[in-house]
Amino acid sequence: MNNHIDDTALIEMISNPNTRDNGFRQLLAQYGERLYWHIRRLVVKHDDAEDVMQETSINIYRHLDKFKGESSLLTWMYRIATNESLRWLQRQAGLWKSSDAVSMELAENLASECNIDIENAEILFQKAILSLPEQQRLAFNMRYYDDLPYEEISKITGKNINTLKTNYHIAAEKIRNYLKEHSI
Amino acid sequence: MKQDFENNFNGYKLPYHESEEYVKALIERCADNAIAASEKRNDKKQYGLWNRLNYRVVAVAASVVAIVCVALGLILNESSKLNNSLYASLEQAPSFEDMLVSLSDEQMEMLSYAYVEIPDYTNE
Repeated sequence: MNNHIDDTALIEMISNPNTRDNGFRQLLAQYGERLYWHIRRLVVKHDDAEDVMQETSINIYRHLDKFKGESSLLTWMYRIATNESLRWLQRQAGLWKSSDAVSMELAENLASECNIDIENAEILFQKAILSLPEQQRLAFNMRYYDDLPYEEISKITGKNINTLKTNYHIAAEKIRNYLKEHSI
Repeated sequence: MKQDFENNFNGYKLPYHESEEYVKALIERCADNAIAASEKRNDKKQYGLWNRLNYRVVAVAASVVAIVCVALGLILNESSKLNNSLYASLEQAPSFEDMLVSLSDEQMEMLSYAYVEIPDYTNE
């Protein structure tokens, strides 16, 4: 299932009850990795990322009929993955903490989640990103790691394009300052 | 655009350790589980719809019965309190003989007139 199939063909497969399951498997095979890393960047811990990925997959399958084609399939799935990740962070936070505070705590324990061969600079870079407020972190991750255009990010997050551009530039500035402060 | 990011941030990679094979296997598992979870849900819907309807009907009926029982309980409680207070007031009421003794002479005389005026139909 490694041949890339375009969105139109995928939508046809999914709309047909006889090929729906195969279409869904192909959809996840094609885009699942991007979704997984997007989730992992937000929730940090790999066990949590697996759980959120499972929840996201279930929601995608359940709501396939509701996909209206107003955005690309990937954008639509990104939106589901983003919402599930943010919901997960909010559940970890509970009533008395914010999800930003949870991300800060995850940043403190980042080294235990990382490859032992990884350079300190990479870990520091991740900590800098995790120290950002939620919306800035989202905008930065999707621009920097996923190369998504602002129009797509706007459809995923529901935010205005100008707001996203501002969030990204502020995030980039904060990350530079963080790295300078920690002598990188 | 990616080059700009790389120039600014030296092309930082993610520091996490999962291999590509691991992630692919995870995604396949997620796909299988999502389909299986949906089939379970559909089975529940197919066989369980009637049961779920029944559960709702039973829940509503039980709630109505509970409300009616509580209302009846409250009404009975109030009426027994009323009865108890009536009995209490009756017990405390003076007897007929006590009331006669407390009448004045004029009141006794009027009472005797009342007894005299009542016609006797027994010998007609």
